[in-house]
Order: sequence, then C-alpha cells, then structure tokens
Amino acid sequence: MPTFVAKGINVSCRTIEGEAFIFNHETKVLLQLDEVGSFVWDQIVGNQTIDDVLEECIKEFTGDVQEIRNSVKEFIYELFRKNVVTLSSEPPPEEMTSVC
Amino acid sequence: MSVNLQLTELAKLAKEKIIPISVLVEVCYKCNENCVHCCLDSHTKLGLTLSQYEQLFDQMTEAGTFYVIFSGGEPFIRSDFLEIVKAARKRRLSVTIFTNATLITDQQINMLRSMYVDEVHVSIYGGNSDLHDSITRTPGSFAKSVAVIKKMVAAGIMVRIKCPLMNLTANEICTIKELAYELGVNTQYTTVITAKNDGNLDTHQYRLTPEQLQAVVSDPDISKQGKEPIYFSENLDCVPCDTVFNGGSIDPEGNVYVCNQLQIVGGNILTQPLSEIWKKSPEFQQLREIKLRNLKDCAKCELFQYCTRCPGLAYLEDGDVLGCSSVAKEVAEARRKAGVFPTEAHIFSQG
Repeated sequence: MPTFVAKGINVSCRTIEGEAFIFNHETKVLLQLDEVGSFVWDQIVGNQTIDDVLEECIKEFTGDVQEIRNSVKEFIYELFRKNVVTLSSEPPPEEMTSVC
Repeated sequence: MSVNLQLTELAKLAKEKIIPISVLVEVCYKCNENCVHCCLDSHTKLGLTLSQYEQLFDQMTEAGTFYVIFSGGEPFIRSDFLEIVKAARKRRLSVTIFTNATLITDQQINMLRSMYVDEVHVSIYGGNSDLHDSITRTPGSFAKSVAVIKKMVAAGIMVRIKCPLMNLTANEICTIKELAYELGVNTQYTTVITAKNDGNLDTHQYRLTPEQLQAVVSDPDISKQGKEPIYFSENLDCVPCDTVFNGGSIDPEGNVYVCNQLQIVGGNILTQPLSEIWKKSPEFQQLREIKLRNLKDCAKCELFQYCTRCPGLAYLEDGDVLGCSSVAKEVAEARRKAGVFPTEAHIFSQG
C-alpha cells in the first residue's frame, strides 16, 4: 500500500536559493534544511507518495540507488517525527494540500 | 540534514539577499468602523480579486516571501477573505491578520484555527466601551471585539491587542493592560498617530502630549529600551531601515511599496512580478542606497541617540526621505527627558 507524504498544514515554509526554511506553528521551531534536504522537501507537493519522492531523488542524485532510497526515506521519517509532514495510506484531503 | 534557526536570522538573510520576506497586503480600504485617527484618506478601494491574490501569492513564493500580513480597511468586510487566507496558506505562507474582529463569526474562528493562522492582531483603543467606541465612532464595537477575542483565545489562536496610544487614551493605559491580562493576550502599543496617507495632518490632533509621551517612553511594557546609546559617527554605513531590503507592502490596487508608511510606488503586481519590482525598481534601489551618513540633519542632531526616525514618516509628514522626522524628534525629546534609549533594532529596523 502506498504511503502518501504531504507538507503539514501546521507549517509555513519557503525555499530561498536552494535552502528550505520550515516553521512549525505548533512547536514554534524554525528549521533550515541543507541543499539535499531542501531538494527532498521541494518534491513534497500535492498528493505525492514516498515512492514518487524517491523516484525524483534517484533522478537527481548520483550514487548507489538503494543507499539513496534508504537515506531519503529516513529523512522523510525524520520530517514526520518533527511534525512537519504527514504520512498516510490515503491521499490527504485536497482542501489544504500544499501547492508549492 | 536540518538545523534549528532563530526567526531573526531569517530576517537577516532576507536583508542580505534583498528578499521581501514579510509583506503587508491591504485587501481593501473599506471598513465597518470609522476611527477618528485612521490614516486612510479614502475607504472606497475594494482590493484585488481572489484570482489576482492567488497570482500574487505565487509571485510571493517565487520572490521568497515567508510572512504575509493581511490588513485593510477591515479585511473581514470581504466575503471572500478566508478564501484569500486559504490561498496563502496553501502556498505555506505564514499569515498574520490585522482586524477589528467585530465581523468574525464562530465558523470563521474555527477556520482560522484549522488553517494555523499565526497571529490575529485586534485593534483596541481603551479598556472600556465608552472610550473605545468613542474612538471607533461605532457603538457596540468594544463589546463585539472583546467577545471575539475571547472566542479566538479559547480556540487556541494567538491574539495580540494592537493599541495606538492617543491623548484621549493615554490615561487609560492601565485599564488596557488589565484587559489584556484578563483576556490572556499580549499587547503591542504604538506611540505615533501618523498623518493620513495623502499627507493630511488632521490626525495629529490625537497625538500624545509631550508629558504623555514622556510617561509612555518610560514604561518598558510599552516602549522597548536599549541599554546603551548608539552614536551616529559609529554607524555611518548602516541603513536607516531594514524594511527597504526585507519588507514590502501592497495596496488594494496591487501597487508595491517597501512599507505602507513610505508612499513611494515601485511597481504594480498586475503588470510585473513582485520579485522583479522588489529587486529592480529604480525607486527601491535608490532607497537602498541611503546610509546613515546621508542623513545630514541626523549628523548634527543631539537627539540622535534617542531617536527612532522612520524614513516613511519623514517623507510623508516632512517631505524629505533624508530629512528630519518631526514626530520622531518629539518622541526623541521625550526619551531624552525620561533618560531612556531606544534599542538598536528599534533604530535600524523600526522594530
């Protein structure tokens, strides 16, 4: 079963010159992602599954495919633990899904 | 892959890279109140359409904007206002709203909460209905505003009272503080009633008297105080206001300003993208060239270390963006008499 990943409605974010800044309105924490993390973050738009994001990352990054899969997956789970993305087995409701 | 950061660092980065990180958007000039001190010269402008605002938010995303502050007029007078907020949140812009709150319904409170609106700032002018309603010239407005604040706080929305201090309200500051405490909200005071945005000075009659100003600047709850004086000669290459680098303001017709106090238009978002206007407008580039060393009046002014001059007010009220701001001078004189200094951030960013 696919796992859908979406930017949380509880966050505000912007990518500035390749670096993503993410503010969690619940924890009031501002995160800055590095270039690789920011690329992954920018793939999380609309109704993407984790596999969709992985595919984009494999196209973008060079190296061992399995290693890329593992580290990107682990990163997405880290974002989930920080409560800035949601993971679900159903597509998230369109109502507040991020468009960028 | 991630590090924690302070919000002030984001503002600094935006200043370095010339990004309109925090943009005020006036969605209409219509209002359901009729405040004696209002800075708007007309209340007829209705604002852009929802679709035009969606395009604006796309432009903001491209330009690097992080915060959007919705103001008016009264934003909730627009029946589609929450659709505008929703469009901004879908682009993950952080949203703050300036409102009198009187028109906000229970359903709208729930929507504001579910959209994670960052803060709602509500204008309150006194600690009781007689005083507040006499300023808004709208009977019942105090009761409505306070009732909605209570509901928003109960819903978990961060609310802040915005209180411009006037000679009519200065003696009531303690009742405003009590009200804020009772409501469980923070208060943000301003000590300057500005001219109308066409330069009309009628609103000056409501400004604090020199004695009231002195009392207000002495109160650390109202006016932030610095520990040490800041000297002109040691800051010659500083910019007088960061907002020209990392601010931004858009009126109901789509005209772009660096700040709603500084009425110099850099372009219009209906004909040119925000990022292009922000970085390439000759008017804005010229404003960014201004350094402290260019402010000749300030160089010889003995009140400099007490002064929080706003270039916008200097331009609007005194006609020269490089000249002395007479109202800033009045406040500086009050600080000098009170023996208190403003903070560095207060001087250079009008924070």
